[in-house]
Amino acid sequence: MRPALRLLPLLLLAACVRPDRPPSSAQREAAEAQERKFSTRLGETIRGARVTAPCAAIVPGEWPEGFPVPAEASRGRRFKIFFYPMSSGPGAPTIRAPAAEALLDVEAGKAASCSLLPGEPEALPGSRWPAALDDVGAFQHHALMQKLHDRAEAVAAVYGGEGAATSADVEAAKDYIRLFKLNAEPSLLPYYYRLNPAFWEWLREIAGDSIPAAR
Amino acid sequence: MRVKSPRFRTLLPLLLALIGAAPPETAAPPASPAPPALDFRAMCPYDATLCAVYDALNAELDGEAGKKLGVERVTSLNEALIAVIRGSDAVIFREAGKLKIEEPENRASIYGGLWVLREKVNTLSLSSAPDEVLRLSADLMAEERRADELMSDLNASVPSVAAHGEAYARLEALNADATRTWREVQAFSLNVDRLGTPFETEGDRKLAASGTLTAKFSNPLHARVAGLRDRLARIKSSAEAVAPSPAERAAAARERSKAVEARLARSGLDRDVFERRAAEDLPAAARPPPLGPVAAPILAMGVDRERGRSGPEGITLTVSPKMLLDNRPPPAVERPTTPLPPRTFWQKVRGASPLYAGRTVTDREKDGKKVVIVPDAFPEETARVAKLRDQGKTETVGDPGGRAKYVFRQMGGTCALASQAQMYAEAHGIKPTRGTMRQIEDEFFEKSRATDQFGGNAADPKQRWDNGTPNEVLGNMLDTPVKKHYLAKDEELFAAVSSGKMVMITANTGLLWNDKRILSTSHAVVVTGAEVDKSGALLGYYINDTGNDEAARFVSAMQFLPAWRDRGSLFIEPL
Repeated sequence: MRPALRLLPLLLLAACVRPDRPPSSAQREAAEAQERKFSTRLGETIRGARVTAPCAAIVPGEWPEGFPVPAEASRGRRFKIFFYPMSSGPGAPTIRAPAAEALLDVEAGKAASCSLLPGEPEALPGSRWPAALDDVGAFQHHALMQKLHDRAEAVAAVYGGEGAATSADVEAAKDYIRLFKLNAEPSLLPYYYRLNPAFWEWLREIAGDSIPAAR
Repeated sequence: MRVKSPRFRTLLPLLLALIGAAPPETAAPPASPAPPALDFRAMCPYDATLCAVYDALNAELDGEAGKKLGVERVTSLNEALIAVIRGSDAVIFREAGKLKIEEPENRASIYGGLWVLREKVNTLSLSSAPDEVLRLSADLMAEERRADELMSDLNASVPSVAAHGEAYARLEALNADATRTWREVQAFSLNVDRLGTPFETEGDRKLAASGTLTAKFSNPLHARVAGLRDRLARIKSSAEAVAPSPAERAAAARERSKAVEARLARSGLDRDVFERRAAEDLPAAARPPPLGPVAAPILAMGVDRERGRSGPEGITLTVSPKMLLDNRPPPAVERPTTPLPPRTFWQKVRGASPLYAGRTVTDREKDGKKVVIVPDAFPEETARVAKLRDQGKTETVGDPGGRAKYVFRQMGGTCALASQAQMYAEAHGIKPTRGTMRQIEDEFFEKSRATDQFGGNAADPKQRWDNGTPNEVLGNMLDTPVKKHYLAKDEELFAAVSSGKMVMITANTGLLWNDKRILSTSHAVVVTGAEVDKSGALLGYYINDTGNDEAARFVSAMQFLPAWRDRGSLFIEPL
């Protein structure tokens, strides 16, 4: 057999084996977040809100919660959050518009108020998570969520603080909005905005970026 | 008076003309007595004009109550209502902080007041055509009853090729009838209140995306159709759950073929004659039921169904030609049960085989993308525990093998009820067949619905997929004393399982199943045992999961504990 023919199987094999794709920035960030454990008072408050009154009495356990948004004039210790239903079944789950809202009191470690929203929540189009997270595993994704809670606490302290923002404050705000956009459900952005429009406009002013304004 | 919304100020004369009301006093909001429980007056300080229009419309609707109005009049009232709701929407978003909209009493005042108006308009809409409403209600009731019967038969039947085929034939026929009724309801609604259905029109979707209040538009008939559609979807899911495996289908086909050949031989008829007669002898259930009242009278009421109708503010109403329920034949799916009986799994894992850590699932998403989910997030850790176990360096506490028999597939968003059913069956010594376990779940479902402990669907109280069990009432179905632990410590759960009890926990489904699509949703399962090392340290827990019908699945502590802690470290322990 000629040498070139002898190499043919190897050449074919090499053609079939795709080199590993380099990890995306989202993957790298998720891996780093998983490496460093985030345990925040805000995260504990969310967990507590799920299993204690008033939310535990009215919010079905199946509904996931959205990401917390700093509440107005709360000095960084109050956050608004919503819960939204998801329909299960074959294929990708469909998410619905928020069906319950709560005001979290981080000092007390629980929800200060919690109520079901009126009306039937509409089904929302599109994937649940941003496409940038497509290649990120469940545990890494979860770690990113924890990291966002950590950054939310940091930015809330700046939002509720007095005096002019320092350069560190601006960096915290920029870090928060970057992480929020990486994590948040795209079809729920208008609902996040409505939780506290003043916060998102403040963020746009201080960090130069925010989520789109919703009516 | 300060009118804050320029858009609303422009609309005001038109609105007043529509409802025939006098212009409001513009100097100050009208003085009013003490507000009733659900009153719109929380809005008055922020937009007095809007408040005045609301009052005028409310009075107008009261004046028309009980009358049989013409379509034009109902439409004008409806359009005025739409404008009031949109005006409210604008004020709420503009003044959310001042209105303290997150306070339940404020929310109830504003939304409740609007709801009262909408109910009044709906009543007038429906009373303007009582005969059609009665007829459509009767059709819907008959179809709801057929759906109930079908679901009940499906639950009672043993999975088989025959049962599956018959269920689908009935579902197809019911779907066709329900679709026809749905179109009649749409046509009726377009003629009476000109709103169309909220779940099918592009205009409504746009409205829903732009504000929360507008999503409320629907009349009671729509709600019932939506409920019926959900119920059919549930039946379809259930039928798929009892779908026979390809091997069973093939075996049944062979048996059927043999029987037919034997009958043909015995009959002495030509094959053509024999087959024609056999077709005529099909069981009645496999034939579509006769059609109900014809749709023509309603559909001929003057709606241009091809073009749709453009309503005010650019709402486009169209009648969709789609079926109520997607009626494509079901995919030939493998029956979603474990390939071996659960107890066999356990016996296998006692030997040198790896621990059973869940079945890999392949899903095809709506965009055609294939997703492979491996439930074990840390296979290296599972392999390490399996190796220790094979070397005799671990112990099993609890009774994961003996309790594997209690698992079954839950019949909806009922993981909490199905988990309690397993605890109940064990406590009462009930022989766990799929039939008995589902019966217990049925009883718990009825009980929890009757006592308002299951979210459910108001439009369709019998369907059990929407809005499951709030955390606070977990464990309430058991008639034996339980201790409910919230925000518990890891050691408390471990102590309860180590004492030999079957306990119920909730976990982040996305972490427990290693599927990020469902991250942050909660799922209840029972913990049936644990694997510990020789020093007594926890290596992992065994669970029975009614969400995927898997028994004695080993979940390493590395995967289990974050999933459990994330949902509030909750567990229910029988005392």
